[in-house]
Amino acid sequence: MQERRQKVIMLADAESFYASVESVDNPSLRGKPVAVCGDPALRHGIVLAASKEAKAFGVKTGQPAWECRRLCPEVIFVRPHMSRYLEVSLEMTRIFEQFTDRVVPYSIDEQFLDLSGCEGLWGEPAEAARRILRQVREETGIRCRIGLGESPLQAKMACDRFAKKRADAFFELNSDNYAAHVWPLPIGDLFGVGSRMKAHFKRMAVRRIGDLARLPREIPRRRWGVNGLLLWLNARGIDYSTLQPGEAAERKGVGHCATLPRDYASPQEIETVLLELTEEVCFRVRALGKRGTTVHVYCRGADFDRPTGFSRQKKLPEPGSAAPEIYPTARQLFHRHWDGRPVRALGITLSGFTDRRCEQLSFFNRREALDSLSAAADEIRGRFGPTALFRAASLTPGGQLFNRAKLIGGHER
Amino acid sequence: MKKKLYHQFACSSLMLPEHRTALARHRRNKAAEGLRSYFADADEQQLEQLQRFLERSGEAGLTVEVTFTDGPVRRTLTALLRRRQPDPDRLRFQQGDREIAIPLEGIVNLRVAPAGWEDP
Repeated sequence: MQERRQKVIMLADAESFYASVESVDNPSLRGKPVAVCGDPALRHGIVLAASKEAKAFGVKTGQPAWECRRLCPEVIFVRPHMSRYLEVSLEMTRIFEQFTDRVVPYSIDEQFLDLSGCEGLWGEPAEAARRILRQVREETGIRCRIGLGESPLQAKMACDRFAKKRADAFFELNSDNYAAHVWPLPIGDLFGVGSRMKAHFKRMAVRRIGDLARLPREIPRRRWGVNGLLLWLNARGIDYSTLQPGEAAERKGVGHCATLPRDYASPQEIETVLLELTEEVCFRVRALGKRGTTVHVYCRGADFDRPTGFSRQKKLPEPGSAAPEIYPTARQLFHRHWDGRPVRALGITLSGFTDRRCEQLSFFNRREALDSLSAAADEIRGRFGPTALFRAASLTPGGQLFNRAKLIGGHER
Repeated sequence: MKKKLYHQFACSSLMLPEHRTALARHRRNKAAEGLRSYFADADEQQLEQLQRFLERSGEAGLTVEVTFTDGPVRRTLTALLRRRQPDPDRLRFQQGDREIAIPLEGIVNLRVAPAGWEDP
């Protein structure tokens, strides 16, 4: 009798998700080089996803549209339809939930499935994976790849590094074969290693994942603390993370960022966008039942050749979740650090959450009135949309509220 | 440190707010479907009322009075209906610092708590 696995974790990843959805919805695009690309007029003209035919020409996600056109002159540009992608992603969640109730979406096109103990229902994990791939393809038209492992890390590595390159779109990693398959890979292929970490490792002569795995654990731990330890564990295929269906870890912060349609140099226009972003952030913080104690302001300058901008934060005297409590600090932070040059992007984040039900009472502030006003505004916006109730400043030329209301994740609905 | 080690994927997850909202709605609807099957004898109006409970819980965190069977005993509990309802087969409540999960099959009745009740 075959030994029963302790955990059966899968990561299902949709191939070129946005481009695949566009091809499903418009069959005339099938088999052609397709790139889903934002609106260049709004300075969102980068490739969000490319079909495999476009990728064959060297087109990559994140490339500017002009570069994509240069690499592949016959590329077909398609505008994104974010709400449709969300719909399909949810449809995939529903399909996965037919196999297990422990489905944890990781992003719009990647979802973890915990099939531990489901062997009696679906047979061997490899067989279950094939069945899932088939069903997703039949019901949504989207081709998925599945990585299988004994932990989320092994599933992620199996999917990203192996399943995506295989014709059967499936690969299994486990404690026995992890070192043989993963250790020869370049260090940059390890989950959690970005370009800066890769440069650090290069200086330490750690070029392959196996080089890191063979180091004594104290070396990365002493140098980078828990992050170093985590990478060392990842290199050895050890993962203590747990999958929690539903909202996973407690949220630490809520932020919004906007790339402006043109460079803003006027303080009034910039303040209008800051105020709108503050309103959006506060709306979401209140929906979580929280108040924030730290305001973070991000600004990116317009000059690409001499990058300017800043990212600064400040603690509030007391927690807040309404724009009149947050905005003055955000505005003050901005003006203290802004060099007066044109601005390309702005962002606001509120973090350091406290529960709305627990607060230090004050004789002097107008918290109760502000909370009631915010609750009424939230109800109206929740029901009729963000443009149902807005500040007059949003009607000035700098206002971005109406443009942003048409977007999901910064791209067209 | 513990959080980083045990939740590395939750920490690196890239979810749009709209995606989170859609998922939360999907889970509430699923829970409502579960309720519907357990309250097979309830009439249309009662079911609608129950469904509204679940939908509003995501937005407001309702204080409810839940009557449920605990073995041979029938109990009544007043608590906050939790915003997050990850399980399709049970409802989670918060009473003070305590989280209580009640299987749907044991729930006999649910209603908004009488006015004046406060979370202890």
